Amino acid sequence: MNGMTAVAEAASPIYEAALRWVEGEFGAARRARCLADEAKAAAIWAELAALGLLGVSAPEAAGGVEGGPEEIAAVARAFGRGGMSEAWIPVAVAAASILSECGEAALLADLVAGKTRPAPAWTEPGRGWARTPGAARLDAAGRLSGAKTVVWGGALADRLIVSARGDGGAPALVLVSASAAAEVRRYRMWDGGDAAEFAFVAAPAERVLATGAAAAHALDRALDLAALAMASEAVGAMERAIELTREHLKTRVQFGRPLSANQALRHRLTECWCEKELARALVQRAAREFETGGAAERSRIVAAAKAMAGEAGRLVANETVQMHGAIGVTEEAEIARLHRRLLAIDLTLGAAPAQLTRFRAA
Amino acid sequence: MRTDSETEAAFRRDVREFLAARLPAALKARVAKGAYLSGAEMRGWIALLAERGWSAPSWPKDYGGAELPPRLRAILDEESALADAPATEGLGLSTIGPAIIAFGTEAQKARFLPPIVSGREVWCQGFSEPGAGSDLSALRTRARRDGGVWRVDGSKIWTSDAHNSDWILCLARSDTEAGRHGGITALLIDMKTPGVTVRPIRWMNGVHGFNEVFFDEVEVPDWNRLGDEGAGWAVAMHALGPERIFVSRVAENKRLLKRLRAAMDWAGADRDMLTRAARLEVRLLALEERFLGFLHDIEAGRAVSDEVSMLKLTGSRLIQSFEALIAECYGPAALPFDPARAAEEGLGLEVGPPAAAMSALRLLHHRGYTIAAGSSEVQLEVLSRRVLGL
Repeated sequence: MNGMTAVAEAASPIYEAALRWVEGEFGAARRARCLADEAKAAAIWAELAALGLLGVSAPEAAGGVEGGPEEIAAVARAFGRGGMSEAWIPVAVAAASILSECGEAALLADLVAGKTRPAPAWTEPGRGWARTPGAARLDAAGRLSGAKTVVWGGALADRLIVSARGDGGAPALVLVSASAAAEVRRYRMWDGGDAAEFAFVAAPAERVLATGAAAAHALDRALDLAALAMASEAVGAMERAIELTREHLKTRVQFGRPLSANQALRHRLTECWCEKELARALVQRAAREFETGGAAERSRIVAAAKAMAGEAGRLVANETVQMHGAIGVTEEAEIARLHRRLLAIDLTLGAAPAQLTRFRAA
Repeated sequence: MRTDSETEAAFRRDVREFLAARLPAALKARVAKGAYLSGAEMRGWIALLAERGWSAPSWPKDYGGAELPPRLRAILDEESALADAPATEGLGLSTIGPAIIAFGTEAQKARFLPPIVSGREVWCQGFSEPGAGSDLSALRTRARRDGGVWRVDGSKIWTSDAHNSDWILCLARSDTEAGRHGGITALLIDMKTPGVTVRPIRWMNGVHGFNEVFFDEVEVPDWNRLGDEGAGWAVAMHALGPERIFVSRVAENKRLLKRLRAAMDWAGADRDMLTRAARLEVRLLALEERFLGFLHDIEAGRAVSDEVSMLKLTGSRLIQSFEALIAECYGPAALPFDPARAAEEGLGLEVGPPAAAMSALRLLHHRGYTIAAGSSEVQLEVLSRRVLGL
């Protein structure tokens, strides 16, 4: 049974490969790449493609490694430890899932090879994390109009998979070139990710990927898989944050003794470890059960894992920075980077309370 | 929630059928109500379970058990909880029996194990003392050798079920010079022995659960020594060890989830209550998965790591969170209390649904869960030292 224990999971080859890369070549310096440095960003993306990490769950025919949710979770956990900030989840997890569900084998192969970088664009201004399209419209002539906001991975995307309302208001997923947008505003987010605002005015669609229930289903699965990946990334980030804090408590001397001589601090870090363990267990369960039931069961267990990881992540983020003292709130500190990412993971796709609502509604 | 293998599914069916056929309706109703069961009720149920070896499900078949692997044992617990069968938590079955299996002589095993399995003899655990709670090694009850017998003097406290018990596993200091963990000897003492007296202590919910047990020049044959002289610490650690994993109380938490759902239905829970309940259910799913991970380790022959302390820590807190939410659902109906009824019948005072009255008793009783069997602080200390290396 893959991923049953920490040992088994740590030993999975894809986890090891992802971890080696993110802790090695990816490295601390490149984490901080600036958005403007597109050459550097392209080089990083090419490395991910060369390692097969853009095709973790893609079929072999598309150049993928035919893994499933458990392999996605394993790579995400490694990226969480190493502070991967590139848009792997929106592109290589969510968009890849949509292309796969919609039978877009050629485009998926291009994604896996790093030749195209589509980002799913479903969030609209004022609609929070709603998964159904609002004002975005696809007209009968196949032209797209409307605005999409904070499109994760959008700053460096060449294509977008846009959710919109088609004939009679039914949802559709539309493939469109990023350059077809009337307006684009690219920026970074505080967790290191990139995003963009897009406005479309009768932009010609490359093609319609899915409509009606099929479109809703494809987006839903993609976002569940992204939520699972984020929850697993949070586990990796929590593990690293706890390790760093453990070292800090053992080496930092104040009042003539190491911080770890204070039981209050030791127990607080241990509480963090327990919450991380619960999150790790539930993420593992969600990955294992992702494909075993229907869509409702899948959404339910993923929402549970995302809620647990989000809440645990927030606790770990806050406690570990607190125990680091002033260094913990500085821009360059690794613990601060982990803090930012853990908070952003909880917020993205809906924070823990919203996930609990999904959990009980599913 | 989790998908069973074929063997597991077949076993689950078997358990369901057994419970449907053999669980007496009156007992089921008492458990469904959440009543505290009498000693006689518990003994009767253990005897029924013993027909299948399920009163001591993990024990070797030679000693009346069923040799169930941990996963099937977990299914038995879970199905019992869902069917409103009593939880068999007797110390003889859960901790003392296994210690006798590990340390006892063949004659001791033959004498003591069959009546434990059949419910004919019930045991209590004489560990804690007024000066030795979380720090068990500070115990001061004395055992002096006098020819072929031991003479025991001292007292135990917080002894669960001593008033219903036939025997006590007593830890006593046989050598005051041998350090904290050395010089402790484990003795199996008949509660009817002259010099043993039991004084009740009521829990804060009025129920007689705890006792003080006094030993005044109690004469115990050396035959009743469990393990070597001075090796009592190892016996105690073993008694607290193998079942540690089940202190995660996964099955009991599932019982409470069921009670919470009933309470929310009754109260017409609002969105806020539903979300808070969902949070607890999510934590239970996580706890269960981690628990199954430890079971998997055991089945694969790996030693259970010190990480297992997180199960006790998390499971006991979760019980308390469920109880608090259940009582909240019942509102005013959870407040009335009749100490005599609690003490004599193990029931709450009903002004609303019976479950409301019982929820109050359990809320107060379960406050002790994070204190008993290694307090939360002890678990945190174990984890912080041995797992995090702090």
